[in-house]
Amino acid sequence: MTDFKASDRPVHALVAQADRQRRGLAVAARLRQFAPIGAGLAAAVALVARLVGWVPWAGVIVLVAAAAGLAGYALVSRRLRDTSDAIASAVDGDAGMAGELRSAHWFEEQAERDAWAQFHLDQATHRASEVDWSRLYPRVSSARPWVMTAVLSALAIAAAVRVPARVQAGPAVAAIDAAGISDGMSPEMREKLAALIAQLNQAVADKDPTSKEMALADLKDLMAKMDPATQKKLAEMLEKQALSASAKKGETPVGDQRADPAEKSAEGMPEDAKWAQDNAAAKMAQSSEAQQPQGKPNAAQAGDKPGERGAGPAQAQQGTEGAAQPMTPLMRESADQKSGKMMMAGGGPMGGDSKPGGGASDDASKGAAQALLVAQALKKELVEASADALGENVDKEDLRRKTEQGTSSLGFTRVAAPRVEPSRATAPPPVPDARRPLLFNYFIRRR
Amino acid sequence: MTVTSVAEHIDLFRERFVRITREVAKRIVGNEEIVENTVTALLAGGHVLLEGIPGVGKTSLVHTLADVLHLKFSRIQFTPDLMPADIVGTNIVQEHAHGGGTFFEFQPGPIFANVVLADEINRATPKTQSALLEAMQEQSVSVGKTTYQLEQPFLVLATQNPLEMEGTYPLPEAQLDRFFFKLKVTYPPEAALHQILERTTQTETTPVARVMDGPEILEMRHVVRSVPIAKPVQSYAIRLTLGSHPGSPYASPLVNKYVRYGASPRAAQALVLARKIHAITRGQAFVSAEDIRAVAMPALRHRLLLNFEGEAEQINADTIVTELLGAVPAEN
Repeated sequence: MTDFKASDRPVHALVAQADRQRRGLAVAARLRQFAPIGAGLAAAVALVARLVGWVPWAGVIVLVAAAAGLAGYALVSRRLRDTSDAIASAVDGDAGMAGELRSAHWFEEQAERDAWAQFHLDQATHRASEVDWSRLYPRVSSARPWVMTAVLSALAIAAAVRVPARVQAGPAVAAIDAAGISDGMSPEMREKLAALIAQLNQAVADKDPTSKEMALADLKDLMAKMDPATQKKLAEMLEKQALSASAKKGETPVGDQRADPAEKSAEGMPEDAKWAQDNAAAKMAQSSEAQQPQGKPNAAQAGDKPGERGAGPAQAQQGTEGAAQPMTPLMRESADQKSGKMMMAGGGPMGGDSKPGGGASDDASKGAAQALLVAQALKKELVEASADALGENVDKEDLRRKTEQGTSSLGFTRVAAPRVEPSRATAPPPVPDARRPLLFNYFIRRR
Repeated sequence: MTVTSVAEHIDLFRERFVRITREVAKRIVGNEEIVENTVTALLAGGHVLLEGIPGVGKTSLVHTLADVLHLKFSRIQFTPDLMPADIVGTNIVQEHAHGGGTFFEFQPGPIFANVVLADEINRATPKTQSALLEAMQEQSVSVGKTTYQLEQPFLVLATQNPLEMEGTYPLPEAQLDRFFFKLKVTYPPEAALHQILERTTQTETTPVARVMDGPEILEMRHVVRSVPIAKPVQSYAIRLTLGSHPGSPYASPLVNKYVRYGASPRAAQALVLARKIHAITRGQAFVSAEDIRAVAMPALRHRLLLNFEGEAEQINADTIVTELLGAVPAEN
């Protein structure tokens, strides 16, 4: 405490300083109480923001706001302020001066003082100087709340920086509904599709190739279960989304940027797969150069080529549209309809060999993109083969899977196998005639 | 007056106060607070009503105080047939020494003393009790057309017995209000009883010295009134007094329920003056709110006039004062 005796009004100066120290104690106690709460709140907001999909820095914003609020409170609360009788009384009570300081505080305000009042003031000042104010209002050093605050603050910042955001399917659902894709689609499939689209968008936004590839693979699996019209709508929707995303980012969806993903996609591939990819890319480039003077879209050619099965006019039209639209990174790497067609060479909705088909461009750079798509298709086939996946060229895939999952519409019940006694064996009940075609379709794959 | 002289006055006052109480304590054992408050009332210019069961030393206290102070002492035993003239005095017919007729001469009553012991004051009729009204407040006595000033310092110490209520007359409110303090003399503790027996059952009585005279007491009274009091503290004394009035914003629930009339401004005067004396005896020159609280009980308890409900439920005024002290905050 500074030398209050030097002041014109020593009692007032002393009361003001003591009151400041007294308030400082209360402020410190409040800070110790609320700083961990604020940091905890910030950490909670940061985690929730990552889970719900708010602004990633929401937790940090809350942390900064809480820190600013507490700092402002501390500054305002600890500033020197005018004293009052109530303050003097409180300080007097704390110091145990039995009302002397309060009384002297009042007498010091009076313009005229007699000898008795002056005697009283002198005595009060002397007694107040003997009070150990630092002991009366000691600084409480408790590291625990501050350590907790630091840990929680670090958690809030780490949550904002390091924790991946949970994908929000809400906008994707809305987009699916708006595009009319969900018409006739089961709610589970709709939700799954929306989640995959959202995951894909998030992966693109986060520039996370791993999650992007996972999302693409799952999306392609899901698209395989859709009818061609839905696939077309979905492709259009994804294309629009990719366009808007690239427009927002100012990206130019041309082939210069496609070399890197192609190179990246080749990383870790077996040698034969790399060779296949390079070979296909070279062929596509040659094909593009050869077709360019003719000015004829590849999609139409794909549909007209003999020996290619099922390349209908619809898909040919899709190929035309694919060539006309600028290729975006999302579309390049998505397992969309066009890349599927290239891979499957238009053989039916899902079947066919891997031949270059629709989606060719008259632009040389787009030829590289086609090569990239083919390479990715090859890679995917490789992955599916190594994983012993059933692939997409199996008819009634969805139906079979449903049956395996116990949700078949055929109505078979799963019962425990009866114990067979050969001596009393009886023939199993005959299959009803109405169900024989279904059984036939279930067990025999159509080629 | 300078600060130095203030310090000297305070020191002198303290020394005299201690001298009185020390001498009284030679005879009166176990009631130090009663002694201190009685001396306080004396130095404040007030009167004291001592209430207690018989044999606890009320009269002894007054006797001792009169012995310690070099003052004129008189005792009035209040009885139902006591008349006002027996207290204030009366005009009697006198004959001139050399003949020539008679004349009326005022014969002063026992009230004409410095220290008056009104023993068992509630045994006299209200008419007689009221004979003390003028003397206690105005320090004068009017007989016929003549007013006689009483000699200063003037102190009435009245005693009353709270147990034997039959044949007694409760003091009128105006009379009660004139008492500075109402002190309840309690039964002395066991250790004090030992000392009492040792001092009163042996051949030698404990002598006390006369340590102070009238002018010194008057000087002390003047010093008391010089002690300053801060407005917030004075405000607290006023709020306590106002709080004893039912319907007052400071009134406590018990006051509103059981009190018909609260304390008069004399109560606030008593609160402030008493604590001024207490402050000087501590060597200080200020009065605190805590000081005011310390004397609230003896200054307020006899000034609360209970209503019918309070009387019927035998509410103790001390209970009401205690609640009032809790209800009125020291800070405004």
